[in-house]
Amino acid sequence: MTGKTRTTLRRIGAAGAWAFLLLGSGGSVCGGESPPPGQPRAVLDISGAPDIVFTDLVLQMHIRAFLDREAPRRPPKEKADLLPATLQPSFLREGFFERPVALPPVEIALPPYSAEACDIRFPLAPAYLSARHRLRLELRAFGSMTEAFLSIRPAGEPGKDLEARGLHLYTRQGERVMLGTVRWGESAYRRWAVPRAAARWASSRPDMPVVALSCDAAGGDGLAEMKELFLKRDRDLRIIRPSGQSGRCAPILGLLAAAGRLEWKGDAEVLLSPGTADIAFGTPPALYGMALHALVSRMETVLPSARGRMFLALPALPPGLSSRGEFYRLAAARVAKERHMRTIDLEAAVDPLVAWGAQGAELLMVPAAREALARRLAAALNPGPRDRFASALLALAGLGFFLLIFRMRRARRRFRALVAHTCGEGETPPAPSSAGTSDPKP
Amino acid sequence: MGTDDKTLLDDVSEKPGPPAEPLPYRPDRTVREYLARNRRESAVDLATPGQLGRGALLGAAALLLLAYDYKVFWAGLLFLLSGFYLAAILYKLVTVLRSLCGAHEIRVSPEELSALREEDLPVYTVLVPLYRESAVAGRIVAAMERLDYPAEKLDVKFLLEEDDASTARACTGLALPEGAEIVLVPHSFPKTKPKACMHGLARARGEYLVIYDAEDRPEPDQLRKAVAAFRRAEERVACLQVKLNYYNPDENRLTKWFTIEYTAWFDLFLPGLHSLGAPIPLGGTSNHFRTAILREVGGWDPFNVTEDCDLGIRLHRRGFRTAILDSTTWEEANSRLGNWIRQRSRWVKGYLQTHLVHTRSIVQTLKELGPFGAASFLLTVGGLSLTLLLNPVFWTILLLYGGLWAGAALGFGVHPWQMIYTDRVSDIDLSFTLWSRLSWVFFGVSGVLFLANGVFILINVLACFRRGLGRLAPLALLSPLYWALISLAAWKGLVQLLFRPSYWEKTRHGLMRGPAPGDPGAENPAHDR
Repeated sequence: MTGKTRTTLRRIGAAGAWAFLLLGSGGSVCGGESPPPGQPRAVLDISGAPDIVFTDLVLQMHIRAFLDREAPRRPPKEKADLLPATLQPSFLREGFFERPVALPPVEIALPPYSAEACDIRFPLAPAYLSARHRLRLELRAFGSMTEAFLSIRPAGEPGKDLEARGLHLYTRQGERVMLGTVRWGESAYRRWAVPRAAARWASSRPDMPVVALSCDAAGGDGLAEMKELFLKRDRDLRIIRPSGQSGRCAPILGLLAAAGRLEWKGDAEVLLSPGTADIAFGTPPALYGMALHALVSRMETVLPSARGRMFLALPALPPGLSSRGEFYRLAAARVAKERHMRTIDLEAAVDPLVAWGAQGAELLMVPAAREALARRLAAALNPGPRDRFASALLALAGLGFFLLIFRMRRARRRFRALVAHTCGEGETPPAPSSAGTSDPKP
Repeated sequence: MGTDDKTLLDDVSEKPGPPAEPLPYRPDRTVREYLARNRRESAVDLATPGQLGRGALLGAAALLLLAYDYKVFWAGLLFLLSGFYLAAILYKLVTVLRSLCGAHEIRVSPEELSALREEDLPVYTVLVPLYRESAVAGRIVAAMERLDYPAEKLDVKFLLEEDDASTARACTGLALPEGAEIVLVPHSFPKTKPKACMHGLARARGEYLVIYDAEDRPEPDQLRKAVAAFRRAEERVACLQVKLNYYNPDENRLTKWFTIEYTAWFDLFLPGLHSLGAPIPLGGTSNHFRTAILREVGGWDPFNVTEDCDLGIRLHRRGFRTAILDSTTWEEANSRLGNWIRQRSRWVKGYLQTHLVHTRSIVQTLKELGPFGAASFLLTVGGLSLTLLLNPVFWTILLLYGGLWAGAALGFGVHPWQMIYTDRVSDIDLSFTLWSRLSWVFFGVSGVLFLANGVFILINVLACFRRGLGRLAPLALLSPLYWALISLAAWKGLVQLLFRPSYWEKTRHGLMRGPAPGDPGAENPAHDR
């Protein structure tokens, strides 16, 4: 294995860890003490689940802020074992996971995202975290990330490992959370062994409440099916559907939909972080800008107190996307300028290890994400110049069509007159040259 | 020549210089009688009320679908079009391959020819419609003189138009072959070759009848071969289509391509259709008919600008058959682009006219042609025209597709995977994504286009070698460029169909540089089998 491949695999592994963190926290709302000057007072994480990179950033900021605030910094009990220090996310290096109950209650609020997206990430993340030692080795056997995704099998009982590692996530109500895979259709449960194993593990512990995370009706149905298949413990399975809608991955429009459900108290400074999913999914930058405009408007409506106090994050980009991603950053900067918003350049703060490689980002493509793109195209955003241009074109085409019909009818009348004349039934028509019957000059 | 015609001809030919005023159209009894008998099968009406109704229903359904889901509409439309496109191309390939698997045309051996006794030969009518052909009138007269057929049994009729003084002058100055006659066609609407032919048919004396164009050089023994073939063939074989080819293929690229295309059409495609028993769209000249049957089916439609194609289909519908005769008539390939486009646009327009005429009653067409014949007709007449019309659309889509790929490669906006990824229906739902649909459509159309161009090239290369024109094979590899030119002409034809359906785009002849075969000092046709 070449050094490059090894590095890639390590990054994939690191990404798995990030994904796990993301899915453990999803969108979160966090209030805090007075932030340093120039930083938003509160961070409203409204990025979607596919926005691995940015959500991690927000989470990281959140966690760091919390740690700085609540807990004295302690040296890690043990180094994050197999990952070389250069590949470890900073909070891993800081021994974050070694604090048994370090996390505050986190409201798990996943914005609507794709069930398909889930099943790409869920299996990898717990497997990675639960059996890091083994998984990292297993990953080496695969040539690509896709193969790795498709071939990961849990080594042992992941949940147990999770528990052993002291990694627990809690809901605000204090319930411990087990991550479950949601996927639309039963085939998922055959394909992915991780949730099945996790479910079995959970079923063997009747004392432990299980909260399954789901984002939409489809995912919820999938979980219910899984519950029926494996758990047989109806009362213990609670399905949280924060979005309450049956949308799937909707990186920006999903945010719009979710924004209306937010409750915000007090004065807030809001960081709007559009995330990188749209970039990875190839949303045209112009549309991206339009959606940001709409998002800002929506937030101003939902949170009037935040009007004039919103920050807009210039997205941080994985290395492989950086050249193309500049368009998105420019679009965001332009929106911020037009809306008189301050910006936070996340790229300046991003840990290089956060970034996905281009390969990883490409693998984030899911049909539902592209559906979101289609929805975005068809969304009833304010008609822009392009729509007006299209309408004008349509009107012109209609006019042209009627002119065509008109001319055809005239030509046809003339033609009939000529035929009638030839048959001796009509009057002599005018000279033939104007009748469409003249011949070209030789 | 009738007395009236002679007087008229004298009038016409003696008028020096260009006419000051265009002549007014005269009523034409021949056209009137044709319409009285065959209006239902005439292109005088572009579409019948039934066709318009069907079209309106289809249009309404399409609009409803468009309003329901534009993605479904475009994907469905392009799917249908590319399916038909592909079917037409593949059918052509099948016929060509079939024709390569054996000799399906009628071949007459020299022994059979020599066995024909002159006294047994029937009177043969030769119609030569001429309009503004003063430059080549002498050549066709010479070609008629070279025909190896008893002069007393030749009924040659030069069909001149009343308003064409220059050709009339040229003809009166020539020593016409014995038995030749000039028929003056009254200046009436429509001004088309089939109308002139109908006037010739009205005066035809022969048991058999053939049409030659002004620039034609039929092989001298062609009439004898046709007689032998007719006698050998079944009674229901009403027409023999002779192979056409060009004597000036090497003039420029256009003539080379044109020659390749003609070779593919007449040497491979039509014999393939013949072998399948499918209706054959006749070529413009050198169609040999049994005169009685030709009269029975009503002759040519004066309003159809590819009356030959229409007549071929009509013969089939009436239960008659067309066979391919292994003889060649050499023609002059169009060497100028504008002239060529005019000619080609007329052909496509005529094919569309023919398609419309024969789809007026789909049930009747199915009944008369049979399912296979009807399908073959749709694919060869309407289908091939559709391919020509669709080519620019498909090329545009392909370029767009390529542009998106290039854009993705350069780092703009769209991901390549968005263009190639197709959704899994079972995993999501029926509301496919836009990109997925575009992927389907773009990928499908591009694939169809590539396949079709491959087939087109293959057929043309095969045709080159079939006719011994291997030197043209490299140019056959560039056939898609030629196809693009045909498509240009096809769109011209389509527009003209709407506004000037019976307008005859006159093709100029005599543009060939140097002497044509048969002229003093000229060589034989540039290629032979």
